[in-house]
Amino acid sequence: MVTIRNLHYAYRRHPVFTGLDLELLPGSIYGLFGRNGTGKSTLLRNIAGFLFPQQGHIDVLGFTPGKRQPAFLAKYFHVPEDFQLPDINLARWIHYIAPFYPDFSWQQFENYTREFAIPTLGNLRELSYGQQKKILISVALATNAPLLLMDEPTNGLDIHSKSQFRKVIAGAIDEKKCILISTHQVKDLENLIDNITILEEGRILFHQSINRIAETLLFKLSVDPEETAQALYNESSIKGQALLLPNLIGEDSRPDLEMLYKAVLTNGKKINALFA
Amino acid sequence: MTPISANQLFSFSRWRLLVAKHWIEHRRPYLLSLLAIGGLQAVWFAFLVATTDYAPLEPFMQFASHMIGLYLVGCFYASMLFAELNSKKEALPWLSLPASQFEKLLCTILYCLFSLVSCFCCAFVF
Repeated sequence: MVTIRNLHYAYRRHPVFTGLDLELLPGSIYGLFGRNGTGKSTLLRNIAGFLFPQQGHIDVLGFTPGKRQPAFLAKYFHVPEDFQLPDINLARWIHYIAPFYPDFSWQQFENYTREFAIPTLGNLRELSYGQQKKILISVALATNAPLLLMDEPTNGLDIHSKSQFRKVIAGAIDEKKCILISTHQVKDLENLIDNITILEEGRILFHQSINRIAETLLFKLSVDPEETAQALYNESSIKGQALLLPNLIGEDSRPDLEMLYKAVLTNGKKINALFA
Repeated sequence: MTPISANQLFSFSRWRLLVAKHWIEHRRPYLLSLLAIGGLQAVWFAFLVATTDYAPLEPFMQFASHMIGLYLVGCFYASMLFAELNSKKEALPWLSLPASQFEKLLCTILYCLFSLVSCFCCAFVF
């Protein structure tokens, strides 16, 4: 669905990507993690065609994003971190935006607004940032665009809305769709994403599926100093040491995304070697 | 609503949707600014008439007022129309809207040139 080869991109003299390769497949929800300034939003904007690769190639559903053809624009929806909705009411805005997306479903939109408890009356600008974000997410999902790009979608959502967000996204994915979510809030995407991509210094540091991670790595709590010494990463917790170990005997454990993220940043080479 | 045409450069039905969407989202500032333009013209001509002892305005003065006013208002409207591209918050939805760049440009030209000139002239005449 999305193929990126040898992507080079720089803001004036500050290089962001230097030969980035990435492949995103349909039927998956990808979590894009990385420190501030590593290029998560820049990557999303390159995929969306807002920014143009200085070298390399991006292919999205057979289109070159930079050309911004209407047929391509109708096949993705970008939920930016910062946005401004127009100064009109919701029904009117949807009435004018829906015809641009051939697969837009009014029924789905109504279901999402009900799920998110979005007020449908009143001016969009009078709503809170969180409510506006829920509207944008509902529109994004109701377009049924094969590719959804979301930049920090859980920012501004309250605790209840975050769990609704996970529920709604999990229900919206099918074998034809691909969702790429960029976030700092690793915990917000737990039990939702099925692939993890970690960006660091302009390249993909880690790109694996949750299933593969669960097969290869073991997440456990331990008080055994010997086990702690063997860990790829460890951190103290109230119940003992939280450890990340190689899963040598195929034991079942639930991947802790936050711990995995920190482990990859501190011990990426060793962890990636286990997946080779 | 009409389905989107497969034509990637220009589709009249898509452009019509774009023009309608632009109007519905921006009609409030347009109408307010037109009222302001009408008000400013009224004040300017009242001033001119008052300073010439209530004599009819000379054609040259009327022509100069019209052209200078149109130029200034045109600059203001053009900057207002393209201001969307200056703000990331507004530029991203505008760029990602499924219409071609040519259609978006034509839509802006429609509002900036034809609508502005006709509205300005109407305000000038009345």
